Amino acid sequence: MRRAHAARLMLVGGLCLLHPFLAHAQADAMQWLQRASQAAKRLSYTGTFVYQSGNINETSRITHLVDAAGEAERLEVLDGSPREVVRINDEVQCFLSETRTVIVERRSGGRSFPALLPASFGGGIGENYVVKKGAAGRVAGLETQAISIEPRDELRYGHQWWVDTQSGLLVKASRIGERGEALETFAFTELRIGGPIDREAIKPAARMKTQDWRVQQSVTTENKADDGTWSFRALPAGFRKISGMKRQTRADAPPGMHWVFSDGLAAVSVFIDPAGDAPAETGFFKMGALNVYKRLLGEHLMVVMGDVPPVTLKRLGDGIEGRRK
Amino acid sequence: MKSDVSALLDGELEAHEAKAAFAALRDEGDLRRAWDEYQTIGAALRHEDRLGACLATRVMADLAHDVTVLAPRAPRADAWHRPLLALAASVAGVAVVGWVAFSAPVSPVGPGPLAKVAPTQPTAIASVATAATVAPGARREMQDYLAAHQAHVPAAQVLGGTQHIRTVSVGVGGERR
Repeated sequence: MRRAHAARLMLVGGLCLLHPFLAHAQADAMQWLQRASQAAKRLSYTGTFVYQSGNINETSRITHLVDAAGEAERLEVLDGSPREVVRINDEVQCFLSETRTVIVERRSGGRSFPALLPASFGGGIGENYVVKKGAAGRVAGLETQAISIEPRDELRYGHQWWVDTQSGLLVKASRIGERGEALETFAFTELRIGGPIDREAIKPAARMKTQDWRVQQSVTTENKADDGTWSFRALPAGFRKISGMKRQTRADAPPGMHWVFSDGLAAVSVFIDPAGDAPAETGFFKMGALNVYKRLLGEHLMVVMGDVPPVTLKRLGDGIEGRRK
Repeated sequence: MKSDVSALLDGELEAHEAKAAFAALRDEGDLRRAWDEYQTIGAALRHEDRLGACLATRVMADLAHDVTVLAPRAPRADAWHRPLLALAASVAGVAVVGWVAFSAPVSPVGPGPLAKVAPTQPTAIASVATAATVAPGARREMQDYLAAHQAHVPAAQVLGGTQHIRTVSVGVGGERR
C-alpha cells in the first residue's frame, strides 16, 4: 500500500517536472489550430469532399471565395436529392429540392460572436481539451500535420484534424466518440487552393427555382443582455454563453429565443419557443450527426442541440428555469 | 471517475474495477448523480416510462417488494457429494464463462439487486445511435432549428463551409431521407 502511494507520488512529481514541456507542446499544437482558423476565412479554394456520419456517406463540391466584397461560398451535394448551401457573408441559404424549401438564416454581426474572431479563437480550448501534434501524413495529395484534440471530461467529444502544412487549411476532420469511433468525418478528396474563382460559381444551380418554394426565413435580433425571462442555473463545465437572440420564425407567432453556448470548440444551441397545440415529442433525438434533447417547460418547448454527448445537453437543458416577474 | 461509471453501465469493467466503482458510487454524491443521469438517458433511449425517478428510490422500492434471504443455510450432515458438486460447478462455470465470452453482445453482470435495474443492453451514453428519429410532423421544424444552429456555431471558423453539410445531409427524414 505504502509502496503504491510512493509510486503515485513519484508519478505526480514526474508529471510536474514534465509540465513545462507538455505546455509547450500544447502551445505548438494550438498554433496550428489558430492557423487553420485563419486559413478557412482568408483563402479562396474549390474542392470535393466526402462526408461520412452514421449511414450518411455523401460527396459534395465546395467553392469558397474571398474578395473585396467579403466571403462567399457554395456547397453542392453531388449524391442523392439535389441540395445546396450558399453563404454570402453572414447570410446562409439552404436549398432542399426534395421538399422545395429554402431556409434562410442571417447571422448577426461578428461583434456578438467573440469566439468567431481569429484573435480570440481558442479561448477555452486549452482548458477543455488536450491538444497534441500527431504524425505528418498525406491527405488528398497534400502534406498534412495531424492534430489530436482530446476531451478532458465526458461532456465533450474528441477530434482528429489534418491540416495542410503549406496553406494551413483543414483538409480532413473527424469527431471522435467515447469509444474512439469516428462520429463524423469530413475529408477532401481533391482541393485547389487560390484563385481565380469565377463569382458565377457561387450562384445556386438553375434547378433551385424558388418561385413556388416554401421560404423559411427567420428574423433574429440580438438580445445579449437577455430580458431576464429565463435563467441558466447549471451550465455544463467549460461552456459559456456566446450569443443570445430573439428569433421570429412566423409573423403571426410570438418570438422565440435562441442562445448559443460553446466550450471553444463544440457548440450547443438552446431554442425556447411557445409550444404549439399539437403534443410535442420530448426526449433524446438525433439529427444527422448532432444530438438533440427536447423538453417541455410550462407552455414552452425547449430544444437543445449540438455536437456534444447527450449528458451535456441534458445538464444544460435541465438547468433552465423560467423566472417569475 | 465518471468515465468508470459510464464503463460500469456499459459492462466494460473487470470484476475488481466494478467493485471499486460501486464503492465509489456508494461514497460520492457527484458520481451517484452522474449514474442517475446516465440511467435516465439510457431509459429515455429505450423509451422506458420510469424516467427521472432516482435510482436509489427505485432500488429501495424494488427491494421492498422482493425480499432476498441473505442468511446462509445450515450445512447438512450428508455432505459426501459436495466435492463432486464443486467440480461440476467449476466445469459449469467455465462453460458459462466461455458461452458469455463467445456470444456477443455481452450483457453486463451486475451484483445482486442492482442487476435488476441496471440496463441489460449496452447503453450508448455518448452516442444516441439508438435514439428515435424525429416524427414526421416535427421534422420540418427540426430542420429549421438545425439550420439556425449551424449558421451560428463558432466551429464554422475552422471547418469552413464544409460544416454546412450537416444542415442538408439530414434531409427531412430526421435520420435520413
